[in-house]
Amino acid sequence: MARDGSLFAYILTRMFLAIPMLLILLTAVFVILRVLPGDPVLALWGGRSPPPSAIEAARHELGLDQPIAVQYLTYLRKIFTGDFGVSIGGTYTGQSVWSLISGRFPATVEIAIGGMLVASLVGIPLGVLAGAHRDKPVDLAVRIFGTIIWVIPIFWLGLVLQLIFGVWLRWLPANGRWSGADVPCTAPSSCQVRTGMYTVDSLIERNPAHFVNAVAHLLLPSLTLGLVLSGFFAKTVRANMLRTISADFTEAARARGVPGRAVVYKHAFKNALVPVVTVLGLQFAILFAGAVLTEKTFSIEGIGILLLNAVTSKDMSVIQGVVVFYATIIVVISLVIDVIGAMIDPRIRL
Amino acid sequence: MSDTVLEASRLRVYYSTRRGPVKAVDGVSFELSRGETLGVVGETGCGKSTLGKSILGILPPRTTVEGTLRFLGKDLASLPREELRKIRGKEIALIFQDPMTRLDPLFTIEDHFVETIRAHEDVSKGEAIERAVKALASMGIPESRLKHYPHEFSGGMRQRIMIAMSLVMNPKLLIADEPTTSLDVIVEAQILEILEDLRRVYKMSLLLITHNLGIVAEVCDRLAVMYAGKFVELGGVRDVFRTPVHPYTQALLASTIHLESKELFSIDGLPPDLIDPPPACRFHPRCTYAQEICRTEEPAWVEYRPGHFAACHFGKDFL
Repeated sequence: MARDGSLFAYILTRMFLAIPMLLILLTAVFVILRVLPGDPVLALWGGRSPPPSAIEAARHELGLDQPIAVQYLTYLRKIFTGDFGVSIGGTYTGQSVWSLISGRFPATVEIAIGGMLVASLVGIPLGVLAGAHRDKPVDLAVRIFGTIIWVIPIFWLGLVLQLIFGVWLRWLPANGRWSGADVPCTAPSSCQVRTGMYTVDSLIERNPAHFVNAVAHLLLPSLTLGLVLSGFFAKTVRANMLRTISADFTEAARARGVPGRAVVYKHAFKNALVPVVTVLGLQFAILFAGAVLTEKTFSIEGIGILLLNAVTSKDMSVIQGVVVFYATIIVVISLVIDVIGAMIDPRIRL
Repeated sequence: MSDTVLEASRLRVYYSTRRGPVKAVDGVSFELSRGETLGVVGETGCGKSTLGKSILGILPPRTTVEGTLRFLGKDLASLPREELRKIRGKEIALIFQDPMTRLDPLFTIEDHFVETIRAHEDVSKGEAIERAVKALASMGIPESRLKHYPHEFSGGMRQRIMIAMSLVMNPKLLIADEPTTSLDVIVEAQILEILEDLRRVYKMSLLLITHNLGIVAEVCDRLAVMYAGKFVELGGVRDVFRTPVHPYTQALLASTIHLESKELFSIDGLPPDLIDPPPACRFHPRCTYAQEICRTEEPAWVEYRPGHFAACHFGKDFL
């Protein structure tokens, strides 16, 4: 058996399996959006009843008069050619769905990664500590923290942090993504590539002041999102640590004379990590769909706000575009989760 | 005296639970000499595994241990944690019952060996691997499998790996907790042979915990019979097998299968609850000879023959 070869083979297999998974998700999105009540054509008229001839024309234009099989194939073809259509109503009428998504996605990615970093850096060590010192004061403190922080409404925590650090102390900007007009990489030919993520773009520009500006705006939203999630992370890690710390192989490791720290941090922690990676990874994927409450609290135009506006104005093409985009991200992230899992646990690479 | 490797006296191990303390080991005393094999026999849940773990000091937190355990004259309870850790795996090694779950699934066999050796000796990784190869070879496992993970081995191979790992530091005392229970008969025979050889070659003392009397007869010098956290009989294998004193020992011996008689004898009733064990003689609810005194008075630990002890009020009647 080739040891590294089996991991590589696993990754390849897993990538191929992602294709049917994506197709199933896309089909589910297609079916659900067509089964849901609410006629997108009527929504175009904003509740007033349009003349029948106009309805017919709109239906023809949207391709809704075609047989369902044709609609489905057209839908798939357009997605795979990157044509997400045009917004058909409300706030964004006439704008390209793809540009709506790609314009907002970088902001969401930044908060998602920032929140994930905070949640992991706070939650995982707390969970390990609590698990290693079960029923001791540390454990009790972590459990109380975890429960309280997890039930705090996220917008409330956001408002409190804004009030303390943005208004009273004036250490950090209270909202938005940027102070000033010179958003990174917008000056002509200042960057070769532009990601739309201000942190990354300011690094591409090699502009430290811009980087500080971007990070300062990111701190409070990341902290808000991350702290709430850290409670959940700590609980998940703790539960898995308790399981592995009393496992047979941990007892056997102690019997071999392995020092206590190595037993906890090497054997128990690494084994606890496999299910934790799955849970935390899926949580990360959910963040990518947009943390709408955090975005709203900090006035950040991300995917969450886009979806919220599209839903309230029954903007079917934007909803469909965001959901398809989200489905793709879920497929990609679950692929990454499985690969990380296989890297940790040799039994997964079969 | 200098030949005594392990000495337990009035050893008690109580696990704390919501319902109260579980008296898993309740006043056990014995000695084990250099190169000797002592078998500890009893039903599931009589406390024999706890006895093994208490010697290594790997009981779960909040477990009460009383009495003394002396290893080569040192009182194990008085040793600092770090000293105790250094004894574990180096001077006293433990082989577990279930080899399938005792190796960390995320680490290779090589990782396990290197970790064990370097926990006790300051040697290079290369030297540790060299020793691992030798230890594994003596158990018939080729060097090519060093980088394999536990799930890639069969149960018998894993148990041989566990044994090789226990022996790599040349321990003075090996505790084997049902080392063959989860294995098939052929592998069992191989493992027993290995244990026999080890004791002969290295003069290692062996505490063999089992419920299989056949294994005891084959491998052990002396035999202790454990019931509900207490030793009820202790003596040379020949003595105990030929003239068992305690009714529980008699019943255990009677319940093994003989070729001549096709009947199978079994002991009525269930092993007692160790949170609330029967008073006085713990075997009295299941004992066919029980009298009033068995319910009210704890029987004394009496030496019936040189080196042959038992705790029964009517021990003399069975001689």
